Amino acid sequence: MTDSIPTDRVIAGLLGRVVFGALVTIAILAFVYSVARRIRVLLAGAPENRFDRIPLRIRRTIEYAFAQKRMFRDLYAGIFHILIFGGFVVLVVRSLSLVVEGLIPGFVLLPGAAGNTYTLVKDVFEVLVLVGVAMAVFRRAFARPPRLDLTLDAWFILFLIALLMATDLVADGARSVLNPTAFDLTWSPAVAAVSRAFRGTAPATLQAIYESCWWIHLADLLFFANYLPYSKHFHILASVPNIFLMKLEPMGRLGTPDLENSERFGVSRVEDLSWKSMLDGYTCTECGRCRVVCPTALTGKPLDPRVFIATLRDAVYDATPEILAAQSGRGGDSPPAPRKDLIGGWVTEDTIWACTTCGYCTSACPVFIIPAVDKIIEMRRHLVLEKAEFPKEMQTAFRGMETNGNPWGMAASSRADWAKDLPVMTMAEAEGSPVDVLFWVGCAGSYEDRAKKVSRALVDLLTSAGVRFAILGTEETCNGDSARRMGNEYLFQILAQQNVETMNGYGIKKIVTNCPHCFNVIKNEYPPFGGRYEVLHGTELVSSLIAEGRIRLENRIDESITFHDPCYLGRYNDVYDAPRQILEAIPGLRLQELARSKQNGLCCGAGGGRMWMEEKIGTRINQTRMQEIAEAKTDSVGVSCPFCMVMIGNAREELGVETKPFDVLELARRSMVERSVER
Amino acid sequence: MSKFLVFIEQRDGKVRKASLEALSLARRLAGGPVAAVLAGKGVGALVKDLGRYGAGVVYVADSDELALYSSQGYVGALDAAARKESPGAVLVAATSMGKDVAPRFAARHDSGVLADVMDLHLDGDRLVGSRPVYSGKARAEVDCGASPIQIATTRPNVFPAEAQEAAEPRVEALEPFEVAPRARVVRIEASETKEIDVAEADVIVSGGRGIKGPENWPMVRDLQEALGAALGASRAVVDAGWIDHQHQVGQTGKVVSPTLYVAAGISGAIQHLAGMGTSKVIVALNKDPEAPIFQVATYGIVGDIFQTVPELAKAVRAAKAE
Repeated sequence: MTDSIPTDRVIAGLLGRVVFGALVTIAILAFVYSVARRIRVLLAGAPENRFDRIPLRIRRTIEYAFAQKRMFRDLYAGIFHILIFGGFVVLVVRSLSLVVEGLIPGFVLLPGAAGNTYTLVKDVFEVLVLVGVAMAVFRRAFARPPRLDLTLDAWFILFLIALLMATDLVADGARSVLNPTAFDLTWSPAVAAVSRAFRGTAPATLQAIYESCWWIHLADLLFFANYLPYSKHFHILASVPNIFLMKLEPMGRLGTPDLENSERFGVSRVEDLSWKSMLDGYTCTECGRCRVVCPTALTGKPLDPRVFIATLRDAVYDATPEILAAQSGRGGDSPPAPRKDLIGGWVTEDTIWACTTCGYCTSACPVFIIPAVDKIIEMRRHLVLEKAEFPKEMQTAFRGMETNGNPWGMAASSRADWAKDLPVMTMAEAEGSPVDVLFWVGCAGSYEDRAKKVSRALVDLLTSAGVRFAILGTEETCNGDSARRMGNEYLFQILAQQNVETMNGYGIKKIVTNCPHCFNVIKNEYPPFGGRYEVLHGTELVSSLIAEGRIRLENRIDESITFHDPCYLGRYNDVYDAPRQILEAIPGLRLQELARSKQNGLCCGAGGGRMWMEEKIGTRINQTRMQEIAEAKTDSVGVSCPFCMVMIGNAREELGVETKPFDVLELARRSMVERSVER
Repeated sequence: MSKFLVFIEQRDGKVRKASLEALSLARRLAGGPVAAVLAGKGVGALVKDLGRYGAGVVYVADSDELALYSSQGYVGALDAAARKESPGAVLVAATSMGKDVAPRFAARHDSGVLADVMDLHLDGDRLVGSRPVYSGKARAEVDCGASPIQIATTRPNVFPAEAQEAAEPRVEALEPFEVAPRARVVRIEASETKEIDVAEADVIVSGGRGIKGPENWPMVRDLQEALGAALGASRAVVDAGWIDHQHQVGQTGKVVSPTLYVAAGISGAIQHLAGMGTSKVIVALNKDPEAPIFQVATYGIVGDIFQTVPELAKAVRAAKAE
């Protein structure tokens, strides 16, 4: 019986099994060694707790790692990826059983019905993986989406995968012809098809085919495992853990360092990266989804998130021998050779200052890598707090925020002047009388000409709806978003503490603001400073007042309009519907979506403190966006952020485009039928 | 009130207007003619004019050594005059020369200086000045405390220089005194380039999108040259490539605070105001009456800048020719 099982012929005798066993052992040891090295480097990274809220992490892992929710945004890629991924999960068992078969003649993985079921599943998946690989090959060879870098590495790995599948099918096919009694082909339709093709082939040839395929399959398998830790396909091992260890805090909340007790600020060396940031690098398989709507990559800036994350990974790999030597106490007496710093060495300062923190890359990554924003802010912190090296025009904004509580440096005492002739109370004046909501005006809403009009529009809307509200007046100061995102964490924390103190002093519970930057910071970044409030964006409050019938929009605006999503409202806080609901509630107004909208909306170029910097490299982000808006050929474009308004307005003038920008609230004000308002 | 002595600044045989302002101010405070001191080489002819602005007596230090400005020489002249006159108060215009002279003189007399005042009045015998602090957001009232001589430097273009019919002042030549120069001015070389740095300038003329195109800079340049000003620009025109970034005034350009800022065809977005909002006098030329620049402007002309700018340049030239 045993000598009729061809495996015995492959692994000849005891000696053969010993040699094969040794090969397998070496391959396994090499694999463990490579992976252990990678893990030990992580231990040298800065600490970060990613083991909280385990049940939620498990749910997210199922949703994003196994169901691969984000992958299907690109349907074609999503389909072939899940075919190959599914194949890997199913076939890892098959591969291990083949190894054991080589060592123990006559080994059967699962007997009876369970075995038959597995055989069927395996058979189907081998074909599906081949289909997936074919789809991938077609895409790389013909479709060639621009987000992909067509590397040799990718072709090689596709070849290895296809070879694994093909050799297994062919080996089994040949074996089934040689030894028909040992195979029940009803459970393996694909093998049966191969088997039919081999009918009539000489047994010696079949034996040769079988043996060579078996060996090629096993060699491929062992090589593949050892190749992964040294290629971008480490992805295969790292993505599931990386998804499990994802950032669970709101996307718009950056890490809050303890400035009182820190000796180093931000990131400049490889060891300053958190272990999770390093794992991000291991996980990236360079799919390039992060660059598709990246405002800097699209306009010729040196920051391309796909390249950025790969560069950090390369820096980690480069530093690996030294980090490991230091860890094990080796490294000896001679000081290590000077290593390139991340900043200046691997990544240029221009790259670091280019980011608009629009968050597109973060929201696009299927494996929850944070390609740019959080890492770049860490590097900016180093440049600002430790080295005081930053584009000189930022100084004006820093000084303005420090001395006058607004980036323009307008007099702090005139912050409430916009409301002088309006029936608006300050919290100080309202002391005692009940207030439903605090209207957080923001610097732009207080000082910038157009945004002041939007503030007035919101006042009219709230007053007409009978909402009891008040402002902080001169007690309000900049929320600190720009300071934080330009790396001046120290200034941010001062502003945050000051504002939280003021608002907690008044016992504020609910806040409305029309600036998405204020909105994000107060909502997501003030809680660690003890500021916990219900925060609404102006469009959220107004759309709910419309829904309740407290604001009636009846004046017609017979125009076509499109909508430009603010990053910090949409991508960061998932507010996509509220502004659209308002636009759709205005009689006569016809909303038409932009080609890039909602989570794919392109940034205006002002985020991340870019509002306060010169844009000297590449083409203008705001002009790029304005061109997209102009292509919609609508009469106007709705915006919901004072910075977007400035950027879009400037681009409109520069390009001579007709499309007029309006804040959604300005339009709501125009369409509103005023009730008799007691003033 | 005891006697006033005013330091008169001259270069190349011309008296600085700022000194005449200080002189007029002293006459107003003293309620009559005051003493002045003039140093230089061959400056006798300048004395006559000083009488019209309030000088009753002019101490003149005239020598070869004083032909060019030197700290020690000119402070020495002020010192010599002070010894003869024994003034209770000394006024100096807060020009770069005045800012050099006044503190040196104060140190010699163990006195304080009310620096760069924008207002000055007498409270009994006490000289009280008012000066801007925190970039003009507040004003500080200052006095010289128990100083033996009260000294103030007056900000140029703030106080009026008032000419009146008056008798020719008495001239008192100062005894030649020894100047032991620790540093000597050998010669003065004027800078080759006529372009004044916008960050340093006292007067700035800026052009914005309203000038329509780079071919219209000569029109703005004409006004700029008439005023002896530096050329500024808004971000929009720098971005459009109409002019180099070094001229950009605003949030991400230069932050300036000149005595006079003329904005031609600039709407005055907050990004621009952040760079020039603290200018002392802002003149806005714009065709749009709604333009936010008019909210911060001291003077504004609503009209076509292709008319107003050349007219203004002509008027400035005419006024200067007088």
